[in-house]
Amino acid sequence: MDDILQRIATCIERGKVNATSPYPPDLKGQDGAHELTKAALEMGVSPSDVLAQGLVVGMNSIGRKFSENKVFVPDLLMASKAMQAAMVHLKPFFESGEAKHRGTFIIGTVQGDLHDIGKNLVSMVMEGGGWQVIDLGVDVSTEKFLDALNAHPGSAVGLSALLTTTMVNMEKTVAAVRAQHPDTKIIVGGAPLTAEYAKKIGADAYAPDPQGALDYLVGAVA
Amino acid sequence: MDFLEADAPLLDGEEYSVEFEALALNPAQVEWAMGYEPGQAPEPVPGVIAELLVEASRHASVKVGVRLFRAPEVLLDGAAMQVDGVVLNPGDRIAGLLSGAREVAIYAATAGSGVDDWIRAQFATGDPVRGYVADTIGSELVERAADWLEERVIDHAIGLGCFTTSRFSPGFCEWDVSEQHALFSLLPRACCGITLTETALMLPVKSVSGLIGMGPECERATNACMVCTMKTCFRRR
Ligand code: B12
Repeated sequence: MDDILQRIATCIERGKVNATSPYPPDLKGQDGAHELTKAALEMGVSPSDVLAQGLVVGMNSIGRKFSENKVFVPDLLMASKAMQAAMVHLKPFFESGEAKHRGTFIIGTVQGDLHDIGKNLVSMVMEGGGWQVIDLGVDVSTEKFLDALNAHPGSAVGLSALLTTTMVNMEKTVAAVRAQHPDTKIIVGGAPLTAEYAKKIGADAYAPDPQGALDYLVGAVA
Repeated sequence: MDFLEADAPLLDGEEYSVEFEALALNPAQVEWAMGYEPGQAPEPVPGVIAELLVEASRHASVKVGVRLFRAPEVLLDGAAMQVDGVVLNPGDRIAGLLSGAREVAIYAATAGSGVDDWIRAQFATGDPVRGYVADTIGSELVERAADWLEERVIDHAIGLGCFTTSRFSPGFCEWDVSEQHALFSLLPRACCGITLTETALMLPVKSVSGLIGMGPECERATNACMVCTMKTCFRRR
């Protein structure tokens, strides 16, 4: 059992989607995240173990290498593709309640900003880390964040911005979330952000990369 | 005007269309822009880059617009400068590097809205690697367009017996992005089809803006990262 979970983790980390995917070249012809996840569940490994000891381990490993600039955005995207192939098999268990997410994470790029690659990467890593992710897209108004929180009380919130001129819109959103849902964990990120700024606007944390968001929220919430 | 001959003079207020081929964007530059050492991107990235570079040439409509201002229209005063009556606040660091400039070139460049649409379409294929490669190509295209202009500005400066500074842009170093509004007020209206949102975001997204100083004592920074304050940048080298 440990072996198959380890293999799932490797497939996730290396972006090996399924048996027919030719990448990475050294795993050509071998089973990928799709087949191995299916097999593990059929063997009777619990969905929670597949998630925690397979998917999460693989995503954590690639996320950490990304934080250390050892791998780059495409590597992370390939890993998330493999993760999604595995998730397909876990979805029914999340729906039935047999497997549980670590929590719910609402993320969006703030009002006035259209950049989404960074936000999407955070979404993928959070999902791979076992969170249910509600991605509100770009140019997201404070009201939309509040609506999502009302629909999913107890969620953590992530705000993204790529320019200082749009980053300032975070302050309003943070204040409104605090007023209505005081216990919400709010994390901010994006190229111009800093820990000082996060503190100044009353957010709980800043993270420079997706893994930082996951590490913080796992410690703070889960 | 369409294509500027290599030795033709740079014209104030002109908008140039730059041919895709003239930008000579190559796969190694795209890999580098993603953070890899050239040749180090894993499979299937190199193949996707090769394929999308060909596609990009069909969607790019690269334009560069420039205005030239010279003393007494250009006044430097501490961390601020005045260009044709418009006050710009690039901050101490950039202003220091601009000191001694007699003439400035103010520019904007874009890869065109077709590139923004093409990038969206690549993401919509469901393969985020294609989307990200296309996005990086779009960013590199407009950066190369700014390089293209910089070369023309250098030639122009030589004609004046001057050297040039590096390119400086609102949003870098201590220069606030909101100054885009002041910078754009110096450019022709709807320069290269670029519009600015209230939050100073340029549309099309794959656009850049900035200025270059010219003077007998001006110098280019050998490593742009040394001037930049973003310590966490994945491109910092
Ligand atoms: C490529 C690039 C461009 C491209 C296009 C960008 C695009 N997205 O389409 C081009 C060349 C066109 C460009 C133009 C400009 N750019 Co630019 N650009 C960059 C660069 C080099 C990389 C951006 C990128 O794509 N990164 C990859 C993605 C994946 O990273 P990311 O979005 O930051 O997300 C990561 C993290 O931030 C984090 N994250 C993101 N969101 C969240 C959310 C949460 C909750 C958490 C925890 C984490 C998190 O996780 C992600 C993965 O690690 C950055 C520098 C840098 N290293 O970031 C400058 C940068 C963003 N640009 C900058 C500037 C100033 C500009 C211009 C205004 C310059 C100008 N005057 O021309 C223009 C504006 C363009 C416009 N349309 O208005 C500044 C912004 C700083 C500021 N003061 O606001 C930066 C930071 C450069 C700098 N050194 O200062 N740019």
